[in-house]
Amino acid sequence: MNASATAYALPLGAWPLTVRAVRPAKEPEVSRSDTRLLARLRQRDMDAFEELVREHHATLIRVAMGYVADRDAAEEVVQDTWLAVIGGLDRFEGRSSLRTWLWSILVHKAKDRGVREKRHVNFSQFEPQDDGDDDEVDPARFHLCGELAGSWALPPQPWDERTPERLLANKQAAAAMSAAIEELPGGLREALLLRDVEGLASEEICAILDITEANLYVRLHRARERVRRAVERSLEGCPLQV
Amino acid sequence: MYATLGSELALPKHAPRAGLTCKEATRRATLFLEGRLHAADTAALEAHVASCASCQAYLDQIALVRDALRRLPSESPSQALRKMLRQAFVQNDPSKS
Repeated sequence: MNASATAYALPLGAWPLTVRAVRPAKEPEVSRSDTRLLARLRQRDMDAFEELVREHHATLIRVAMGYVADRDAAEEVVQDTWLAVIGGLDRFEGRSSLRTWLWSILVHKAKDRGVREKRHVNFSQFEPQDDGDDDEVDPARFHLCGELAGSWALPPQPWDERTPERLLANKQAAAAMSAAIEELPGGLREALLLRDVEGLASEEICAILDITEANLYVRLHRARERVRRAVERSLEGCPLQV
Repeated sequence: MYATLGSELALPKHAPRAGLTCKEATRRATLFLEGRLHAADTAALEAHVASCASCQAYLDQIALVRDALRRLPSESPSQALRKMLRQAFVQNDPSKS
């Protein structure tokens, strides 16, 4: 963990207009619940195992699909991951969180499968450039020169859907969100899924993906902006397009 | 370039700490939401957004997307896979071997 990271934590009380909406994502607690879950799994508590599978299975497949040729291959990778988890439960030493361990197995197996399918996988998609404006807000939406350079020319309009529940209840917006995730390049997709869908801590994600925090945040912002843009288009009545 | 954790991603010298443009504000949205901006950059962003309804809307939308992603409905594994995994889970019990 970068020791300086927590020193820059956002002061929650300093946000005058929309404290609830823009509050930083809560870093997940893993330690105590992780220990309890691991103990239940080692006792072969079927409910605990099914809960684990239910919670992570779909996202495991989505991430695996970034590495392999198709859905069938991704499902095989995820199946192998679960079998490896089952087989390794009693040897797991708890040096990382259970989730980090699970995701590390998945990424390792998916990469391995991807390498064997090398004709299908372009690993450059996992290496986003850290500079330049690519994949952030469309530059055409800002004034390019003059006194207003850098100010909005085509500003975003506030959405009527102001809560996650209301946004997801809008079928077009929810479909746009899902489609946008599927269309993300692998490197952006895994950052978004691990952080925003799975809720892993940034430190965990960096360990799993073997990337720096700076790289993670570049990926995460580009991914969020692409999904935001897709939702924006859907709410404006535009056809799905990422 | 983002302003963030350490020196490798500090703001370039020509970029103002205060008086951000809207474009600069949007590029800092995720770092802000993640609590990873330097204190001075956080203050500059807050000052900008407090007087810019469009950037407020943008920041709200990025935050809303982030929060909605956590609640996306997810599909369950197939019955066949669940059955196979249940069997493997039970059969791999070292206390029964």
